Amino acid sequence: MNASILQSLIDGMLMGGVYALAALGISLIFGVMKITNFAHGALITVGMYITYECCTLLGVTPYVALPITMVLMFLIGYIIQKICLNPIMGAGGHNQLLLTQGIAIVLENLILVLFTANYKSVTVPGFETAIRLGSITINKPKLVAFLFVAVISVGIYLVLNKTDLGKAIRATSTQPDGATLMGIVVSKINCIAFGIGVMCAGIAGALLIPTQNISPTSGNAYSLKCFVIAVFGGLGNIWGAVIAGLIIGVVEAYSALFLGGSWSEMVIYVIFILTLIIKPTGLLGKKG
Amino acid sequence: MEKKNTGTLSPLLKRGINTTSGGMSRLQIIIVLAVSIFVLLTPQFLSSYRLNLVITILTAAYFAQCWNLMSGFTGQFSFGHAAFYGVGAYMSSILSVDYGVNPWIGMLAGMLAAGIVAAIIGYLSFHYNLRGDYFALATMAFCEILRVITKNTEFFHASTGVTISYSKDWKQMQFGGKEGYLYVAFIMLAAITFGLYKIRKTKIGLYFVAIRENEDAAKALGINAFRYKMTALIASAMLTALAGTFYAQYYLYIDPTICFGNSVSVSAITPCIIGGTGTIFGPIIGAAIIEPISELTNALLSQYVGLNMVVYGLILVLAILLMPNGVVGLFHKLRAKKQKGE
Amino acid sequence: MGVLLKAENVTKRFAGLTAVDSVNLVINQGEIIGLIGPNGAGKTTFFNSITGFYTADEGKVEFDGQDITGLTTYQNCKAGMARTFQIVQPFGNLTALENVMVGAFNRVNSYAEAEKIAKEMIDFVGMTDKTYDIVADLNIGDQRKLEMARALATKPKLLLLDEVMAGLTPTEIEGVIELVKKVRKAGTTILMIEHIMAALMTLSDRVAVLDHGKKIAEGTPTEITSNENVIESYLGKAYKKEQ
Repeated sequence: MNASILQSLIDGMLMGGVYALAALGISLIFGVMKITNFAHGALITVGMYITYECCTLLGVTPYVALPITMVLMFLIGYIIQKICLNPIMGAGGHNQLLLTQGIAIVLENLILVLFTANYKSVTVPGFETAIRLGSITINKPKLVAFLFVAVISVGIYLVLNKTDLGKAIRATSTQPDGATLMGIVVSKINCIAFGIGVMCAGIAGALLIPTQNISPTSGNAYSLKCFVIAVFGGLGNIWGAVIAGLIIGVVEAYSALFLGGSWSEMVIYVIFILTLIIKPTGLLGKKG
Repeated sequence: MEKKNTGTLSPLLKRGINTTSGGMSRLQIIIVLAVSIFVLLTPQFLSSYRLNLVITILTAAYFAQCWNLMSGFTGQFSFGHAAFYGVGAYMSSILSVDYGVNPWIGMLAGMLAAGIVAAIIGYLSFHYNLRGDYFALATMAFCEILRVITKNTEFFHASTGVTISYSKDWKQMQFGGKEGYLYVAFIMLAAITFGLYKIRKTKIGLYFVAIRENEDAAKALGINAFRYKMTALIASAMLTALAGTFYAQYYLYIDPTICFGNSVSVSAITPCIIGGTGTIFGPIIGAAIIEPISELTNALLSQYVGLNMVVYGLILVLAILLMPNGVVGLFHKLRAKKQKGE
Repeated sequence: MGVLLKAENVTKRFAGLTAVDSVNLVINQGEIIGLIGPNGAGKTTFFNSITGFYTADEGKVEFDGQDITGLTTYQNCKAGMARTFQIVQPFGNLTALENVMVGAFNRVNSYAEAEKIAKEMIDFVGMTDKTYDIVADLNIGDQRKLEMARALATKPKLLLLDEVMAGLTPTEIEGVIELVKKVRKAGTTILMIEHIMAALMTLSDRVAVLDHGKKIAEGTPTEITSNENVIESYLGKAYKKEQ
C-alpha cells in the first residue's frame, strides 16, 4: 500500500507537469486577452499529430521534432488570433468563447478527415521499459516530459519577465489601454500571446505522444482538465497554473487509486466547481 | 466591471421595443402562418426520410429556444445545457424501461428532475455570483459530472446506454409514423416561441432582459436578480428536459455521450448564433439553416468522415465573424441601410 | 420634518484601507443634502454602503423608521431608495421607454401601467421626443437624465445622485439643476454627490464633506464655504477652479 501511495504521487506529479504546461497556455491567453480558449484541447491534439507526422516522415523521436512542433504551433496560434479573434476583440459577450469552440470543432474534425479515427502511436527506442527503483516504477516518457516542462516553463518565465516582449505582454495583460498609449501594438501582442499559449498546448501534445496512442479526440480528455487547473491556479496567473497542475495531477492519481480511474474525473470537476464558487480567482489569485 | 453583453443582442429586440404596443407587423404574421401551414402539410408530400429532417429542424429549434430563454434573454450563458437534456432523456427512459413507468409520467418526472438539477446549479452559481465565462465553465463542469455518473453507474446502464422498446402507441409516447412526431415537435416549438413572444412584453420578461443588459443597474431598480436568474434557469432546464424525453422516445436509444456530450450543448447554441441570440425567431431561422446544411454535408461527404463537422464548425466561426447578431441582425442592418438610402 | 435616513458610524474597509470611516449622517424629509470631498474620499463608497451594493463592516442605517442595515440593493429600492451611477449604467440595447419601465415595475405589475408611469417620467425629465430611442445611441447628458427618470420611476422617497452633472455642458447643467428642484418640489428627498460646486451650493440645504473616509464638516453651504478645514482639504483648489 505504501509503495502504491508513493507510486501514485510520482505518477501524479509527472502527469501534473504536462497538465501544468497546457494549462499555462490557457492561463496566459486568458491573462492577456480575457479569452477563454475552448480550442485548447483540440490544439493539444493538433500538436500530437504534427509531432506524429514529423516523427514518421523524418524518422526522429518526438523530442527531436519538438522545435518543429513549437514553431508550427506558434504560427497556428498567431494566425488564429490574427484572422479569427482580433476582429472581434472588442465585441464582448460570449462570442470569443464560442468562436474558439467553433475552431475546436473544425480542428478536431479536420484531423479526423486527414488521419481517420484509427489510433496512432510513436515509440521511442529504449523508452518501452520503465525505470525501476525498488518497488517503484518510473515511466521514462513521463519523466522526460516532466523535465522538458520544467525547462520550458522556466524559459517562458524568462521571456515574460526579462525581455521587452515579455514586458509588453504583461503590460497588455494588466492595462491594454495603457499599453496602447505606450506605443505597444496590442493586436500584435495578442497574436504573440495566443501563439505562445497554443505552443504550450502543442508541446504538451508532443510530450504526451510517447505515453499514449493518439486519436482525433485525444486532446479532449485534457481540455476541461486544463481549465480546471488554470482556474484553480487563478486564470491569468502562470505560476498558479504550474502549481495547480502538479496538485491536480496528484489528486487525479490518488482518486484513481482510491476510487477507480473512471471516478477520478468526477473528483476533479467537483474541485473545479468548488473553486469557482468559493474562490474563482484561484489559489494564487487576488481576493475575489 | 463585467464585459457588456451588447455583442450578443440582435436589433430585432430593439425593433420589437419600438413597437411596444403593436407587436408583430402584418407581414411577419403572414410569414409565420405560411411557414407553419407549410410545415404542418409536409407529411402530405415529403418522404419519411425527408420528414426526419423537418423533425430535426423543429427539435433543434425548440432546444435552441430553451437555451435562448436563459442565455439569450437573461444573459446567463450556459455551456452545459446538455445536462438538462440528458436528465430529461434518462429520467423518462430509465423509469419506463426498468420500472415500467409510463413515459408521459416519466416526462414530467424528467422535467422535475431537471428543474432540481438546475436549482442546484443555479443556487451555487448565482449565490456565489458567478458571471460570464466562469458561469459558462461551471455549467460545463456540472454537465460533465452528470456524464461521468451515467457512464459509470449500472443504474443508468453505464456506457451501454438505454434502449427503449418500440410500441407505436401514443400512450407510450410514441406516435407511430413520422408525422405524429412532427406534429408534437411543431406544437412544442410553437408553444415555446409564442411563450417567449408573450413574456417579452411582461414585467418578468423585461426584468430578464434588464439583467442581461446590466445586472447592477437592475438590482438598483428593485430587481431581485438572483430570483429572476433562478426562474429563467429552472424554466429553461425543465423545457429542455422535454426535448431530451422527445429525443429518447423518437430514436429509442440514448447513451451518456448522446445525452451529455459537449456537442449537445453546442447544438443548443449554434442555431441561436446563426439566427440571432436573444431574438424571438432567430433560433428557428438558425435551426432551419444549420440542420439542412448538416444533413446535406453528411450525405454528400459521407466518404470523408468528419468533413461535415468541419463545415459545421466553419459555419459557426463564420457566423460569429460575419454576422455577430445573426441572420435577424443582418436583416435589420440591411433594412436600416435601405431606409437611410431613401 | 421627520428624519428619513439616519446613518450611524458607517464604516467600510477594503483590504486594509478604510474607505468610509465611521460616518454619521442624518437626512430629513424634503431636504437636498450635498456630499462633497476630493476624489477617493469615499463618497461613492458611502453611497454603495447605504444602498446595499456593499455590506458595511460596521454601523447602522435607518431608513424611513426602519433598520435597513445589511439589506441588499433591491430590497433598499423596494424600501424607497433609488440611485444613479457615477458612470452611467444604462440598459444599452433597450429603448428609453423600456429603461424607465424597468424602474416603474418596482411599484406596479401591469405592463400598461408601467408604460404609463415611464412615459410620465420621461416627460418629467424632458425627453419625450426620445422615448423610443435606443439608449446606447443617446449622448451622455441624455443618458444621465434618463437614469434619473429611471430611478424616479421606482417612486423613491430618497433619490441618491452620484455626479449627475459630470461631463455635461453648462446648458445641460442648468437643465439638471432645474430638474433636481422639480424632483424636490414633487416631494422626493435628495442626497447628491457633486463636483460642480456652484450647482451644489445653490441646490443644497446642507452639505457634508468627506475626506479620507471621514466626515470632516457638515453645515449650510455658507458655513461650508467658510470652513477652514474644508477649504484646506478640498474647496481651496476645487472651489477656486469653479469660480
